[in-house]
Amino acid sequence: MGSVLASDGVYLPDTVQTAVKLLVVGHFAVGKTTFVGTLSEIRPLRTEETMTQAGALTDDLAGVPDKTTTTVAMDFGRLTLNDHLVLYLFGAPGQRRFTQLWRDMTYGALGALVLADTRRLEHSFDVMGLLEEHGLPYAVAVNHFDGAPVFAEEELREALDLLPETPLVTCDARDRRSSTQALISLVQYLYSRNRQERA
Amino acid sequence: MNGLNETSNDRLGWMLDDALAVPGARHAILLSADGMLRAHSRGISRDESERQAAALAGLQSISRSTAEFCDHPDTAWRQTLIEFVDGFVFLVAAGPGAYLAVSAAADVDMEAVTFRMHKLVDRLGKELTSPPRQDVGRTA
Repeated sequence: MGSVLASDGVYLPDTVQTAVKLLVVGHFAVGKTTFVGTLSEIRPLRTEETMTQAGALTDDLAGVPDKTTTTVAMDFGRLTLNDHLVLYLFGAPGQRRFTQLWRDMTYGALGALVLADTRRLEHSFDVMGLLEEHGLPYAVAVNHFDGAPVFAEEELREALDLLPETPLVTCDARDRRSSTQALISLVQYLYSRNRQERA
Repeated sequence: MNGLNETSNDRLGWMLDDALAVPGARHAILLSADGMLRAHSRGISRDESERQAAALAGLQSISRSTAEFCDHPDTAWRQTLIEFVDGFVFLVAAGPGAYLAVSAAADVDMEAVTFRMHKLVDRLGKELTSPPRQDVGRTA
């Protein structure tokens, strides 16, 4: 797709051959908007709204007391990985009440990156379950929050009940380098799955 | 990826420009249901078009989810209209898996815009559709 549109973007060279749609998912307040914003080479699409008292019972702010806004529709950003591959990142809202939008967003996606927070690992099961329902392969990136507990990889895998082949990485959603690495591990995983299925 | 060839895409962009021949019409974008840009009119940049394509796909999804509020949960979505102080955005279906969006000034003849949009959708027919991917949705 990339090569067929007249390119007027600074970052998007005409050599781009493959456009890949990826989802960035995870529970409420795990850092999805930050992650997409850190990585996007174009001004990201954001749909943040100030949280109201009405959500106080369902949206748990423990551990993120400074959070004042939440995404009500989606995030979007674009990242050109190399001359031939461009990633389109779609961030889906974390709360259950947005499930319908979430389902529509999986349409055309090749895979997902699940962001997780070590202070509430169990909150990740909802989204991992939804991804499995849709047959969408995923990698997990633990977004490191200052002061959050650090666990060994084996402990994390067990707590999140991950398959042995599911990539598990750590990142800081504010940091471009580690966030890019997290996406690269997802892309490599999708690539190797694809190759295995073709073999 | 089911890419369009260059000639076909130029033609789409040209047709979108053609749809703007109503006084006050601003930009036109053609997008797939999964939020990817298919084509855009000349006056809007590609970066901006891609961001808007994602937003419009989300908007369509959310619009559809309000069908129940309209007392007919299974009714088909036809159009979403957004009104700003300074203009409008029109979003309509453009065949299976594709949507067409046009923005316009506040004093535009709204009927003329939607008429032209539907004309364009009719004319392009098959060319405008984004068939569902065949290589996704498998379980591991």
